[in-house]
Order: sequence, then structure tokens, then C-alpha cells
Amino acid sequence: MAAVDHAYRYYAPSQVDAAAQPRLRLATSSANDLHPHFFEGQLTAPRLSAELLGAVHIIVGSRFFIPGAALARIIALADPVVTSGGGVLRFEGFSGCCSAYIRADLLPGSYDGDVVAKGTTNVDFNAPMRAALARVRDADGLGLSVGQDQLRLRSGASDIIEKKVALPMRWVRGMLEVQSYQASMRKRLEMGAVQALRFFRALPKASTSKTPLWVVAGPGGLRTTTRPDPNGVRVTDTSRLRVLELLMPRAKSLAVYADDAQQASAWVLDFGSMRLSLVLSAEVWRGFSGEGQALRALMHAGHDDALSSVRAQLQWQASLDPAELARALSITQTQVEDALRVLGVSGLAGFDVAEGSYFHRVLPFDLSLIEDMHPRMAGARALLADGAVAVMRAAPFEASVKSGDVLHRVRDLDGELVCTCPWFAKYQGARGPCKHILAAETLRPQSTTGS
Amino acid sequence: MATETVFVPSSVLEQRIHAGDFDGVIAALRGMSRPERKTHIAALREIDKRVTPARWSADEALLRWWGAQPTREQCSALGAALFFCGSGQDRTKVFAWDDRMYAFLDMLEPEVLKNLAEEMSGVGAWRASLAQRLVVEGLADRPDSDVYIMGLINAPRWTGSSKSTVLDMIALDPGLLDGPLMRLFEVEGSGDVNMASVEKYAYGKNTWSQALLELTRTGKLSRAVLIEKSLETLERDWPQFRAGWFSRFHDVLAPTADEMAPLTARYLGLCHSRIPPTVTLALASLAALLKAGRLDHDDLLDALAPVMSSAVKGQVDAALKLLDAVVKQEPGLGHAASALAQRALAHESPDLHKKVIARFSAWGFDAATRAEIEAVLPHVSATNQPALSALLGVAPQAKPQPAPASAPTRAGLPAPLDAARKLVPIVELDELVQTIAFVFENDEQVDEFERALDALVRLAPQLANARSELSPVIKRAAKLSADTRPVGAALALLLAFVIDANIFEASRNIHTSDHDLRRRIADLTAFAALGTGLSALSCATHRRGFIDPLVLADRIEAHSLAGISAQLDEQVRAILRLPSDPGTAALERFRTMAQTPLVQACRYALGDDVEVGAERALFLAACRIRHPGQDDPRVLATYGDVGPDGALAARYKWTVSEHRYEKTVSYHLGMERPQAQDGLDASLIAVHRNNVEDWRGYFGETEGSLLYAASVVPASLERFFAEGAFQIGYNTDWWEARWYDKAFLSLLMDPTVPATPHAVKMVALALGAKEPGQTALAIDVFVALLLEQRADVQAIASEIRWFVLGLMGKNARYAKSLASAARAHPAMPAAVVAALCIMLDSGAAAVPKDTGPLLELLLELLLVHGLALPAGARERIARLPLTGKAKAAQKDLLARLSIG
Repeated sequence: MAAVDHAYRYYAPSQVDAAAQPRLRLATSSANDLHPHFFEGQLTAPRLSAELLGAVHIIVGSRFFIPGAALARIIALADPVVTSGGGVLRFEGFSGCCSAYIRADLLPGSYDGDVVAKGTTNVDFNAPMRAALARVRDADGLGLSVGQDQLRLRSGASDIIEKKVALPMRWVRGMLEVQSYQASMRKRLEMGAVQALRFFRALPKASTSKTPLWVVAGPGGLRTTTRPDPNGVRVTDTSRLRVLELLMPRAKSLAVYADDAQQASAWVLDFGSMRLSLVLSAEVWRGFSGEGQALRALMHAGHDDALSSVRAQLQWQASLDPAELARALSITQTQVEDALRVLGVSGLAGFDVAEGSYFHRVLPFDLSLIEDMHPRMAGARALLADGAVAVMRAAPFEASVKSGDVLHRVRDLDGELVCTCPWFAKYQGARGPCKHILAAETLRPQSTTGS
Repeated sequence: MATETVFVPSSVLEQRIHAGDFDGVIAALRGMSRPERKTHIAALREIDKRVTPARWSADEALLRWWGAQPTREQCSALGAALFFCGSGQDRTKVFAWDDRMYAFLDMLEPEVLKNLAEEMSGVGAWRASLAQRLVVEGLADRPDSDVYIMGLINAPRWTGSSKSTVLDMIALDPGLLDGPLMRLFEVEGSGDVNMASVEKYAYGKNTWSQALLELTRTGKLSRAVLIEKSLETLERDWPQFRAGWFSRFHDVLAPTADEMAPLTARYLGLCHSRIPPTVTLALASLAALLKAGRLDHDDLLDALAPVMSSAVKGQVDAALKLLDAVVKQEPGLGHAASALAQRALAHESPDLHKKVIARFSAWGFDAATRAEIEAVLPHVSATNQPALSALLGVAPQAKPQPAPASAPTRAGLPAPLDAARKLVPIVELDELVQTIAFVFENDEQVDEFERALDALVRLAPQLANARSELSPVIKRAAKLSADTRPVGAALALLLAFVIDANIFEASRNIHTSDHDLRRRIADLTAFAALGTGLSALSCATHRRGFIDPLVLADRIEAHSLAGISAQLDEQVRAILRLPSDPGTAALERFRTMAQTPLVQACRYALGDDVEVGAERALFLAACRIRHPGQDDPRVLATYGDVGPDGALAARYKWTVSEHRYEKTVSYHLGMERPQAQDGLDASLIAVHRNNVEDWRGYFGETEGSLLYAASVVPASLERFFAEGAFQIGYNTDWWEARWYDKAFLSLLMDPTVPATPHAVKMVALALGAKEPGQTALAIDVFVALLLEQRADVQAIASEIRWFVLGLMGKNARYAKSLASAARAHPAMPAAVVAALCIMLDSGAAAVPKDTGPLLELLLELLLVHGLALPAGARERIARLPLTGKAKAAQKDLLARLSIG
């Protein structure tokens, strides 16, 4: 299986100092021993903060679908990612099966202290630290250090802890593409804590991965149905939501987001000064990788100067406003949005679905293989390079694409491009375009491009 | 070597392996230097690759090559050769480990031997005994890996198989006490190898619990350390099953309050655990500490906050009792206790609400808590809202008015032949390719399958020259498996013939599990070969397999004009797809046509007054449409009883049998299915639906095959639903993962499908089934049937009462399903109340156990929605001879209704 080699290098394990005033010391990873030092301060809601970090740890260590044992072992080593920027501390994690993405956002009201620096890196979450978090009490308070200052690092003179892992390409790709999924979501449901808690408790305890359910608002509150509902939210294997149930009594509200194709859903708990976002893929066995939501933007990125202009504007902002960037760069808002989409799937931006905006962060993995991470895009480029695409008609658009000994037909049917390949037949465009459509529409005359 | 048909040893070593001469192999290896041994490894690997699987395989070529099934001695000899010649990877792959190899470990290089235990640990817990022996004998260093610890976790299994015990292992290796045993509390393990699963399947007392307990008794391990380590593990929030061993072990240790006191902070912290048994342990321990006066009240109140929001009613109850004890010891904490207790109002249990309200009365509350209670008041159960409103001094919420009966009526539902349900014929090649590709990937899309079949037959003359355009589906067709995609495979079979008869032979591997579908494809193939450009008689014109009689009349005339006489089976299939009540226009049309046996049979099917004709298969098919689900006396008089769903409708007998295993009693549903006669004419397709010809039966085991089967006689689905009722009813506890059974239920979501008696039985059974996805679908079907007036509540509820409440008992599941159904539509609460009243009317039958949840749901629905009980229901409920919680629920219900 294709994988990205990655090394976590920590100066010490993360731990909770059990002093009179407990302090959570999160160790940051660095390839060059300049371990980033992002934050020093006190958490205003220690117990809740500990529970949110615990939820990230649970998801990172979870597998809702069981792939090969070897994969499970590798994935178990995928540590969360911390981002400091714009006064927000974000902790992101991804489940071993790649079907659940979680992010805990600590907003400025959740801490009293100093954001020392901006940036992104891996952070060590380990079992003893998790166990120690279980004993955190509001009455005792909780200090938080994300990274350590260089002086303390030197005086510690500790041995570097290094974990080398091969992160499966599927996992890295999913971590990238989940951002573009969120960007296409809109809020479908919102409810108070008690209503949400009762809804979670009414959900089946066993996995429902074989039967998609739609969460809909009914006369008696939220309920689930097997009948597709355009105003509902599709979800499979509701056991993935159980991580939220324990946190629900502390939340102010729950908001649920979904994209129009109902390929993923985002469940956001609002705690006032903190937020927890859980994004679920359409199926537990599918993950987010290969979804191709941003393939079109990526295909056209090479021709677009806007991308480099927008990229130059990235300065660890907690929220990137497309309108503001468009004004500043004198380009259209659509160009900015496309550029952000590309930056999202390139690991250079995350998406905050509650804010409805991207934020700058650089995933701490080797992303030089981005092209390989999008096999359909690479396939489309290969088809174009081989001259396999022939436009047969400009309007309505029709093209033939020779793929091996098979001649596929790509044509415009009621404003949508359809293809004769098995991929398209199976997913009907819900998982993005196939490589034949990607290649064909590159040669499509601009004036005939549909909406 | 791989190409040889018979194994020919190329060295003395290989000769001795083949001879199964273990000692000879060792002697040969002794005579070689290390580099010499390495020269053999490539050949040894090749032999191993073939011989090891042949231990179980009956592959004739392999057996011919080796001469016979490999013997244990041959495998041992091969294993020894691999072990001493190969690399670390080869050593870990040796399948047939032989203990005689211990004596020759000196043949390994010193560095290799030193790390051999670690190397063997890496193989997995099953090689742990080898690693442990190497450590005990001082031959190798003790590994430091998690896998080595997993091997120790697994020790009860492998020590037991050698008639030893875990304690024996520790006696031989006292070094385990210095650290490795403590790591049993740190390594979570795998799905198979973890403390909980190893102990669950252990024989006798050779378990870690007993061993550790014994070590504390003999003073070799400290109780205090083990208690603390148990808590430390529980803090890690491992999955419930794995964490369960540690909470049980803590109970086995039974710590005293003195032993627990130093660990108070840990017990307090465990109240936050997401694992319910861990919280239960924490609450029990805190209760003991409180009783012993070793617990600070403020600390306890702080820790109980998350427990008050627990989903586990018993834990909330336990926490309330702890608060009782605190307030009793320190009355000044009453308001603080109420502030915590109000969180329990988020729980859905009316019983819990009642208890919390009682505490509010006793403890009082401050202004902040009052505001919190008022905010949650609308979510408090209707049975308790009046009491809480009175306590708060606010006006009770207005009594709700019953929801108006706004359900849609049957009149608004579509008919099978509505224009919107028509299958639009495919006319363009591009669309045909697209449709075939779609069916190949979506086997359950039987309507699209019918469109593609029709187009392939009609367009056959044009397709022979369109191989290039069809190339995407031709390539895919060859890869389809009939086991998983029988519908797509059937389409592939027709495609293969239509485009080029020569590739038919190459496509023979494309077969379907259903005999009639295969026969139909053969008939369509023959028809397509005529190249008429006409539609075949049996192709559906409307969704679900229906054929519009007017279109069938057109087809019959077109065939006649073309001089074609359709095969008898095709005629039968066409008749079986007619609707039962198509109106008079179709009948008039058939009356004006040439009166062939087919036309006469169509008239008979559509209800016309014609004689039963001479063609038996046609009229036996026609009578199924004329009298769906019923007997046809006229056809019976002419042709006699040819089997179920011939002239006589199939009849099914249902049984429930009791099974006892130790103290467990379970009930299994049985259906005596009618069987078609052996050697029956294959043209009697409706009768053949009752003929179980192979292990898959008529309906197959995929959604596609089930839905296709439902389209064979779309106007008469009783056979289909009887099978569904049996399969779902037999499997209500989901002992077999039959995901495709949802097709039985999903068909009922189509508003044109009538709720036949067996459809109703099936839905009644599915509402109490265990698999949540299937139950969710059953709830949707239940709601749709009632709202669309396709079934009445009396019919469904009576089935539930007879089948399940009377005999099998699934009350809690039914209460949950019906509560969910009540939330689906404003008209549903009244329907569910009616259903509950019918279900609770036990009549002469014994009252089922655990009726409480049904009574609680009934009361809640009555109060929340302002509904009244049907006439006589109150008296019938009052007469129920209940006990325990059900008695309390009955009493509560009757009392509330008296007040109301």
C-alpha cells in the first residue's frame, strides 16, 4: 500500500504535571529539534477542555471499519495535529479507518494566557496522559503548555522520542479532502442540548453501517428514517457519534451540516468558548479519500495565477475571508474560493464549518506527493498526454476517451457530464468526476461549459 | 521447480525433508557452514510455499507433485531446515515448529539467538510459549515489546494447552514479577488477545484473575499496587469489553475503605468515564468511602455532575442516593444537591423525573437552579410536568389538543400503471450503454434492468456493428459475478449474445442463481436472434415489472403480423406481469383481437367471462392475476390441484417452537412452506416459486435477486412476503447477517404495493427485530402503511400480539420501535395508542413479561398528545394480571387516567 514516511520527534512525552496546580504539557514534534512553542496559560474550563482533548484521542484511536491488521497498527500511530493561529488553538485528529475527522477548537475565551507563536505541528497524545486527564477537576484548575520554550528545552536535556511511521496515502488523502467536503456543507439542523442528548441516546448502539439513515426534524423532535430526505442529514454507522454523547450535557447546542450530495456530515458542539467538530464520511468503509470534491479545482490550478497570490496571503489566520482577499488581490471571489479549495486539498488550509471559512495551517506531513494522492487527476493528465481524448461535438458537449482497449463516451446530459465507465455508473457523479470526465472537460470549449 | 509435475529433490537436504527425516535434516545442517546453509534457502522457500498450504488443500496438482498429503514429519523436517538456513523472516514464518529444535539452537549465530525471543514475539501471541521458554532458559533476552506482553496476556491459553498454569509459568520465571506482570495493566491487546477475551474463554481456574489474587495471598504482589494499577487502566477509557476485566478484577480484589482512601482522587475521576461499568465501579467505591467517612462532600458533588447526565438510569439512581447520604450528613448542601440533580431531568425516563422532583421537594433549590429547572421543564415527561410545575409555582402547560387526522388517503396513491411509473423505452445507443453500465453496478435496479433487456432485444440488429460503442460494458460484463450480481450477470449474458454469438461460449461462466431468469434470458436471446426490432412479450412497461395490457395487446398483434409465435414461457411471463384491475379499456381491446389461446388467457386474467381454455400454463398463470392470493374454482375444476399458486393459492402454516439450552429459553419461528411437485412443467412459473431447487431457494441471496423475484408476479406478492416473514421472523435476533433481507421490507415503501396478510405479518415481526437498520426500515414501512391506509392498525397490532407478545416476547424492542413511529407524523401518536391497546389486550393468553415499557409509552403518548383511550381499553388494561414494574406502570396509568 502506498504510504508517506513520517517521523514524530518529541522532546518528551506529553503529560499532566500533578502538582498543586496541575499543568498539561503537550509535546510538539519537530524534524529539526526546534520544537514549536505555541502556548502558555491557564484553561478557564479545565474539565471540559480535558474532555474535548479526550474526544480527539478517542477518535484518533478508533476504527469504525476494520481494515487489515497491519494498517490498524500503523494508523494507531497517527498523532493529532495542533494549529496555533489567530488566537485559536485547534487540535485535529483522524480515525484509523479514515471515516471520522475531529477537531477541538479552543477559542480565545477558553484560556487565559499567551499565544507564544503561530504554526502547525503534531502533538503527542499518549495513554498515560489521557489517564491523567481523567483526574482533572475544575476546582484544581489546569495550566496548558503547547510546546516548551527553548531555554527549558535545553535545560531539560531529555532524550528525543522518535516514532517513525508510514502513514497510508489513503489516510493522508482523507485528511486533506475532508476540508473541501466541509467547504461545500450548509447547516441543516440545529437544536438545544437536551433535545440533542435525547436524540443521541435514541440512536442504535450497534453499527448501522449497512443501512443509511436520514436524520430529520419531526413533530416530536429529531428522529431517524431510512427514507431519503432532502432536508435531512444522511448518516451511516451512528456509533461514530457516540463520542459526542458524553459531551452533549455540557454543550449549549448542536448544529449539523451536510453537503448537497449527502456525502458527508459535520456535527458541531458549541460550548461557547470552545467547539468540537466531528465530520463523518458517507460510509465507514469509504473514508474521505478519493472523493474528488476538489479535483476540478486542482485540474485547473496550474493555469491560475490566483492560487499563488492567495497562497502568499496566508499568515496563520483563524479565518480567511474570500471577499476580503478578493478585494485585496483584485481578483474575483470565485477565484479566491477555487484557490482556497486547492490549498485545502494541498494541506495548506483547514475549513471551519461553524465559521464557514478556511483557516491557515500547514499539515506537518510530506505533501510533495500531492499529485500521487489524486490518482484520478493523474489518470486524467495521462489520458490528455496520450492524446486519448477527442471532442466529437461542442454543444451539447460530447467526447470520446480511449482508455486501453475501451472507448468511453463522455457527454452532456441535462447540464451534467456523464460517462460510460463503471466508476461513473456506480457513483453517478456523487463522488466527483471520473478521470475520463476530468480529461474531457479540460478540452471543453469554455462557452459550452455548464453551470 | 515450479514447472515440474513431480517433486525431484535437488540435494541431500531436500531428500531428507521429503523422507520426513528430522534427525537427518539436522545432521545435514550440522555438516554445513553458515554460508553453505544460505545457498539452500531459495529452494526451501519454494518448497515451503507449496507444501505448507498442501497440509489442508486437496489441490490434486500439488498432491501429485509432492506425492501425497504432506505428513507432520515432512513439515517438521522442512521447518527445521528453514529455521536454521533462513533469515529472521523465515524463522518467524516456520509453520510447523518442532520442540526438538531447542536442542540445536546453538547452530544459530549468538546475536540471532540473543534476540530470538523478541523475534518470535513479533510473530504474534501464538508464538509466545517459545519466546517465554527461550527467556526462562536464559538463551535469549526478555523482549520489551507490547507483543511480548500480549503473549503473556494469552498465557492462560498456551499454558493450559501444555497442562500447565499461569502460576507455573511465573514460578519458572520469577523475573516476571519485577515488571512484565505490571504491564498486563498497560497493554490493551487486540480483538482476540486481551485480558477480557482470554479470561472469557478460559477453562477452569487458570486465569489471570485467580493467578494475581493468589500472588497477593502469598505476598508476592502487593494488593495496593494491583488496586491502583486497575484504576490506572480504567482511566485509559479502553473499549468497554476490554475495560470490563479490570473493573471485575477490582471487584475480585474487594478493596476495603482503608485501601481505597488513598486512591479517592482516582475514584472521583472515574465518574467521568465513558465506560458505564467503570462509572458503576466508581459509584460503588465512593459509596463505601462516604459510608466510612473518608470522602469530602464537595469533592463528591463535583465528581457526580457527569453521572447525573448519564444515559444509564441505574447510575443516575445511584448518584441520587449518594446525594441523599450527603444531604443527610450535611443538610446545608441541599441546594447544591438539587443543582446537580436537575441535570437528571434531561434523561427521558419518567420514573427518574419523579424521583428527582421528590428530591427537589425535600432539598429545596436556589434561584439559579430554579432557572435551570424552568428551562428544562418542557422536556420533562408529561406524567411529571404537573408536579414539577406545581413545585415551581408556574402554571402547568396547556393540555394539548389531539392532532387533527390529516393523514393522506388511499385515493391519493398512485396505481401501478400511472403514467409517472412508465418505463421509457431506450432508443439511443448512448443511453443503452449508460443504462447497462448502471445496472452492472447497481444490481437492485430491476426497472432499469427491464429497460436494458427490452432495448437489447429491440436494437439487436444494430448492435452487432456497435462493438466499439459497447466496449465499456463488454469489458465489464466479463467480470461480473452471478453470486453477487445475478441481475447484472443475466443482462451480461444477453449482451454477450446480442453483440456477437461467438462470444457466447466465452460467457458461459455468467450464470444466474435463479432458474427462471436464466430461462428467460435464453428465450430473449432466441427472440433477439430473429432481428425483428420488436419488443419481447415479457419486458416490463411499468415499474415493479408490470406490463400495461394495452401494450401487451400491441405486442401480440405486432408479433402476429411479423409471423412470430412467442415461446410459451414468454407468454406465461407476460400474463403474470399484468395488473389485477387495469380497467375496461384493455379488456375491450383484447375482445377485438384474434382469439388465440394467449388472448383468451389475457381476457381471463383481466376478469372477462371466457371459458378456461386448453392451454394449461396460460390459464394457470391467468388465474393468479384474476384471483391474487385466492383460489380459482373454475381453473381448479378444469386442471385440478397442480401445486401451490396453481389453481389454489399457496397456504402457509406458522409455528413457534421452544428451545431450551441450560437456563436459557428461546423461541424459533417456523413456516411450513408448500412445495411444488417434482418434475413439474417449467412453464408453471408461479407454482415454481414454491419449488426450492437449490440451497439458495427461489429468491436468491442478494437484493437484486429478491427484487427481481418480486417483479415476476407483481400483482400477487403473497408468496414473496411469506418468504420475507419467514426469513425475518426466523432471524429476529440476527444470528445470521442477512443484509439483503431488507429488500423484503423496502418493497413495501412503494405505495403501489398492497399490504397482503403476510406483508403485515412480516412488518409486525420486523418491528421487534434486533438489527437496528432493519428495524428502522420496518418503522418507516409501518408508518407508511398506516398513513397511506394500505393496512389498518388492527391487523398489524394483532399480528404483534399473537406472534411476539404471546409467544416470543420482545416488548422493550416494540416499545422503542413504536415510540419512534409515534414521532414520525402528527397522525401517528393516535395510531400507536390504538396499536398499544390492541397489543395489551391479551384476552385468554398469558400476559407477556416486561409489559411495563408498553404501558409507560401508552401513558406518555396519552398525556403528551391529549389522546383518549379507545372504548373498553381502560377496563381491559385494569384486568391485566401484572407484577413488579409492570404492575407499577399499570397502577400509574390507571391513576393518571382517573385524574385526567
